[in-house]
Amino acid sequence: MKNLTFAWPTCKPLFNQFNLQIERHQKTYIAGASGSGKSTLLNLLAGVLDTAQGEIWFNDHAFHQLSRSQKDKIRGQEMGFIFQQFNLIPYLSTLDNIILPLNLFHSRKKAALELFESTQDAAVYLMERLALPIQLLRQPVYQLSVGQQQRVAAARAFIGNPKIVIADEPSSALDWENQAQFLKLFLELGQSQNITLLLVSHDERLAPHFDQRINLPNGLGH
Amino acid sequence: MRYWIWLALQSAISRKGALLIIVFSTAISVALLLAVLKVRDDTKTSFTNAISGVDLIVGSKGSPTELILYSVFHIGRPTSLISGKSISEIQKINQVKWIVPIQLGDTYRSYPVVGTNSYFFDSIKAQNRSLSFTSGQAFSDQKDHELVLGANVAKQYKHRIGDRIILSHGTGKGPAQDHANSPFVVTGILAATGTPIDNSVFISIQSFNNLHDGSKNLQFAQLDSAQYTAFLIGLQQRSAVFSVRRQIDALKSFSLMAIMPGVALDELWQTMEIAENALILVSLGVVLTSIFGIIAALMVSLEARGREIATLRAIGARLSQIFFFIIWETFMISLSGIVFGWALLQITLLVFSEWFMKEWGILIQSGLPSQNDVLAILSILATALLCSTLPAIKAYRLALHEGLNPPSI
Amino acid sequence: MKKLIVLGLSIFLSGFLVQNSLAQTYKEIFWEELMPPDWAKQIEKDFTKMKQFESMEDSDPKTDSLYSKLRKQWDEAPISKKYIGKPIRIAGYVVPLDADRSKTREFLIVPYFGACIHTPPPPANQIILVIPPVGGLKVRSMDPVWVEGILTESRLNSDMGVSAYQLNAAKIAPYK
Repeated sequence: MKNLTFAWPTCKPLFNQFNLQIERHQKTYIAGASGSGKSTLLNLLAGVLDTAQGEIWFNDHAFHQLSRSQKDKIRGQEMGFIFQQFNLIPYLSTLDNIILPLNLFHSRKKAALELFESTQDAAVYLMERLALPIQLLRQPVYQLSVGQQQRVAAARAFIGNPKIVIADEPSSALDWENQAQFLKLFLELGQSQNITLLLVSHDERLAPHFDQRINLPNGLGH
Repeated sequence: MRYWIWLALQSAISRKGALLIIVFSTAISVALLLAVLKVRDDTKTSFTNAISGVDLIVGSKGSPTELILYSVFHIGRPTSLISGKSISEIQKINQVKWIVPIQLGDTYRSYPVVGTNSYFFDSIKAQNRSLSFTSGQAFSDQKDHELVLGANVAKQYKHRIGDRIILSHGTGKGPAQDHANSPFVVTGILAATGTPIDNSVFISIQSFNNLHDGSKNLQFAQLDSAQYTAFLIGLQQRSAVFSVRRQIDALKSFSLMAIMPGVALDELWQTMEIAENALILVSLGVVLTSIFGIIAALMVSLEARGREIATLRAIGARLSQIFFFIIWETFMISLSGIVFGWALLQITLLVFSEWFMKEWGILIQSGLPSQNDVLAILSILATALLCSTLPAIKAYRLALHEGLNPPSI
Repeated sequence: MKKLIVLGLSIFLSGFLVQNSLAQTYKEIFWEELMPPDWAKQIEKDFTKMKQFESMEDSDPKTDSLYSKLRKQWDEAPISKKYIGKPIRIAGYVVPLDADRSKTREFLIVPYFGACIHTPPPPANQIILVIPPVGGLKVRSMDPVWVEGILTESRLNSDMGVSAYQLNAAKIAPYK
């Protein structure tokens, strides 16, 4: 059993001897108000930011020792991200947006094709799980509603069986009804595919649904 | 890698409004540069070969460049005429071996008609070879209404010995004042020479004069009572050219100017080259401006594409991939501009080539890109790529600093 | 046997040496040498005479006639037989004759720059007609060049007997 841990990131005055451990296959909630350094944390987790001191471990990869492009590759192959602003490529269709990670990383494509006939089938499956109407498949994403766009972003994060899906305030742009629906689908997907989930948010209402809760230290922030 | 190319294409298409304008402006500037290069190459060819074996050309006092352009290349307007009375005076000069007078001013379907005597065909050379006939022979100086065709004229209208031809007065551009009552008979067709001779039609001086003033009905012996555009002179010893020139200039009762064709042509070339180089420099400047336009457009677009880049980064795109993403986009835009520009030029040439020939007597043809063209295109492409590192670096930095947090809108 | 080899070798070597020396026997000459010495002296005398008239107006008929007389003398300047038939090498400025840009275009060479444009042309014994070799050099008006070849005399078939220099060039090279 490999341990999925993030340990002792220390960089800048932001995190001082900070220890964080996220359990595999668990749903973890990180509480952080905007500006509490959570974006820095996310960048660190993603391997986009380098630590001056300390170690970051992801799935037995020693992030603090790897080069930037090596971390990029791991991020692409083993992680999925859902952002506050959804971050879709506006000029691509729904389908193309969802399978984008598969087109960039061969191993992720392979993982998807183990379960499905084609990348399109993999995308369609996720769309169904996320209650996205199938007609949207070839539509340009900017034509979709906000709620639909969020779920497309989620599909993209989950496709190809990543090890972890990290969501940063994923539903703050939605109304409460959509939020609840989204959260439900998010948790279901993670559960059924046994993917580690990490949600970062300031909305305490979401917290009870998660196995583990982590508070970012006080006094952090700009 | 192929996927990134496809992605860049999709990205560009989504912004096709602004990009098309830039592509168009690049196309125009490239077409301009290629056009200038082409005119330079083609005029060089037209001017490279002229008649040889002529030591002096005599015309009325004025510009030597005009005289050689008109008398040898049939380009431009006729200078003032010189009197035939000076011929006997010139013949008295010891070193003068032969003198062939020529008259210009008429056309046959926009090809110039040259009035001269049959000695022209014996004395004048082209590229150091004597003239020869592929069929027939020279016109007779004593008879009227006979003519000789240059190789290209005969080929263009598929003329043969015995054909009848109507000549028209003037430059052939306005309504033709046809000498319809006096058709000419083809007596000879010249072999190709690669000089302006191929595009000329030759008739006797007698015929030329009678075309314009039938009342005089000039006979061969009366050369001296006619007026001429120029005399072509050959010397006994070529090195005596300075001396003979001076003696002709000194004939006080006629205001004559004798020019050395080699020197005059070289001076013409020199002037042309200065003008051409200036034009090329300007065109290059215009192309550079267009490239800057492409770069500027891309820089501006990157301001709004922060999210696009952050998304790609989140999905695992490397910084180097982002860099090449932008470079590739610039390359595509530049290449489109160049291809479009080249096509634009070809279409323009197809449409205007004939007019250009009529107006200037120079042939400019559409066709495959010449060596110079390819060189120019490659340099433009290389410059564009070099400049494209600017927006690519900007994208790189953007990706680096913003990480996964794009500027919120 | 040995003697034969030595003989053969020496014949071969001497032939080779002669060949080499022949190839390099283009004697470099200077323009002054193309003027017969007594003619040159006469011209000097005429020049001093000319100086007397320098103070006169250009439009003075005396200056005019003197100028024409001088020019006529220069046009009929006799050639020197010194180098006729000999291989020479000389540098000069190109005055092109034919109106084409091929390598076969014949030209004159003269001692100084601008002989046809700004300054008066040189005397007849300071002009050489150059017939370029096959595959010669493309030359332009006023290019400085070296020419190598056998200097010949071209004579007018008339009772005047005017001669001029001619050179069938073996080689033309730019002057550096």
